[in-house]
Amino acid sequence: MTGDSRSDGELLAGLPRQPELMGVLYERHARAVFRYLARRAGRQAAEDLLSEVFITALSASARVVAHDSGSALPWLYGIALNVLRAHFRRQPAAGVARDLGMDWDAVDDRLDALAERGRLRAALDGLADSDRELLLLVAWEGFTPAEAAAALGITQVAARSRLHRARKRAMKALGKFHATPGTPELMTTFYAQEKA
Amino acid sequence: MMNSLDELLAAAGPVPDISPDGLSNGRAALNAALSSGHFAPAAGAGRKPGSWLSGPRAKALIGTAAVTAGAAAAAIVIAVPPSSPAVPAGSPANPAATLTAAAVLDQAAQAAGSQPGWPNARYWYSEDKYTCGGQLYTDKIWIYRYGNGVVEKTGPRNSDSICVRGLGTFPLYPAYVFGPYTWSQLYALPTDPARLEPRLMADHGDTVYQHPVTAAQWASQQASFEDVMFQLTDTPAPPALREALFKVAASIPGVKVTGRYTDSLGRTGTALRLGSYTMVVDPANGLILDENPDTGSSTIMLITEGPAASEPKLGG
Repeated sequence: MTGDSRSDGELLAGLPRQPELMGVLYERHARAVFRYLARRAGRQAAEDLLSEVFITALSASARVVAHDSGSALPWLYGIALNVLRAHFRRQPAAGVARDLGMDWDAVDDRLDALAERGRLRAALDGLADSDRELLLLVAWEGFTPAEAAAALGITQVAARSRLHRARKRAMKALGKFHATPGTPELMTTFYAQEKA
Repeated sequence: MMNSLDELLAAAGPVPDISPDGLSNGRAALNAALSSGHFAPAAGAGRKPGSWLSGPRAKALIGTAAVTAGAAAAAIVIAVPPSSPAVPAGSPANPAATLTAAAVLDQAAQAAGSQPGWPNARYWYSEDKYTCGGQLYTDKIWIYRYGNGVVEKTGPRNSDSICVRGLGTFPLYPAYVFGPYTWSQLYALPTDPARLEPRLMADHGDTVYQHPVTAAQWASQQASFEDVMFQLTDTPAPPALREALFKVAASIPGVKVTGRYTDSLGRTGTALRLGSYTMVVDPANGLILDENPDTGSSTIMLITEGPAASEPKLGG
C-alpha cells in the first residue's frame, strides 16, 4: 500500500516526466484493475495481464489527465480493455470464441453454483461490444455513466444513450420486463440509473 | 432463480482478490520495465504513445476485426440461392431474390411513409410477444405522451421462471424517453434524411462520419445503424420520420442482406446485418419484426404498434 498522498490527478500530471510514479498508481489501483481483468478473462489471465496494463499505460501517459472524478481508474480500465482485446486476439480460435471482450467460461464459472450459467450470456450476447462494456463498467466496476464514458472514449451523452439501449436490449433478451405486481422493479432501477 | 438483469450482473461480479504472488509479480514486471525504459506495449495491445482513447480511436479499435467485412458492402448486390420450400420457424430462410440492403430499406421507407399519421395521439401502443421457457408471453405497452405508461403482461403462470414474475397490468416507468428524445422532440426531428443523419449521430453521441466511410469509422457506422433502428421500434416516430429513418439506414454502408427470416408466428421478413447487429424488417409495411434473432436468447417479436387513445386500468 502506498503512503503517497498525492491525488491521482497529480500523479498522472507528473507521469510524463516521472514514469516511476506509475508504481504509486500500481499500488493504489492494481487490485481494482486485477478484478476488472478477472471478471472478463478469469483469474489466471488477469494475473498474467496485470503488469501489461500498467506498462502499456506508461507508453500512453503523455497526454493523459484524470477524469473529473479525480480517479485514474477510468483511464486504466480503458487501457485494460485494449490489453484484453489483444489478449483474446492472440488466443486460438477454438479457445475463446471470437469475442474480443470476454471469456464467457470465466463468467459462467461464477454463476454455475446458482444455476444461472448461460443466462447472463444470453442477456449480453446480443449487445455490441462497446454497449456491453459500458453496461459492465457501470454494473461491475461501479462506474458512473460519466466515468464509463471516459474509459471508453465516448461522450457522456453517448454513454447515457447507449446505456439505455444496452439495458433495454439485455432485459428483452432475459425475458422482457419482469414486473412484480405493484413494483415495476427493473424499469424503475433502469430509469434511476439513467438519471444518475 | 434470479429474475432480473441486475441480479444476474451482481451475481457474476464478485471475483477473488489477487494473490500476494500475483500482485508482487506484477509490480516486479512494472519495475523491470521502468528500469529498462522500455515502455512499448506488447504487440497489438495498446495505443501509440500519447494518443490513448480518443473517441474515434477507441471505436476503431473496437471495430477493427470486422472492418474488412463491413466497409464497402452496401453497394454489393448479394446473389442468393433459391428459396427452400420448408422454412423452420424462427430461423433464417434462403432468400428468394437478389437484394441489396439499401433496396430493402428504401422499400420499407416508402411503406412507413405512406402510413396515416398520429399527430394527436395520447398514447403509443406496442405489442411484443416473446418465447421464454418454451412458452409464449405477450407484453402490451401503452406509453403516455406526457410521461408514464402501462404494461400489460399475459401468458402462462410460472412463478419460478425468469419469464414473468407477475401477470397483470403494471405502471411503466416514471417518464419514458426514446433514447435521447422525448415524444415532442421526436416530432421535431428533421425529416430530410440528409439533415436527420448528422442530427441523429450528434444526439446519440455517435462519431460523425463522412461518406464514403473509411475503415476507421466502421464502428461508428454500426452504432449509427443501431441507433436508427432504436428509433424505429417502440417509439411514436411519425410516418415522415420513419421514412427518413429508413432512408438514413439505407445510406449507411456495410449493411448486408442475410436472408429471409420466418418467425414462430409465421411472419416473414428480410434479415439485415451490420457487424454484430441483426434486424428483421417486413419491407411491405415497414415494421421491424425482430432484432438480433440469431443470438440464441429469447426471441422477441414485435407484433404491432400504433397510436392509442387510452390505457387500461392497473391491476392483475
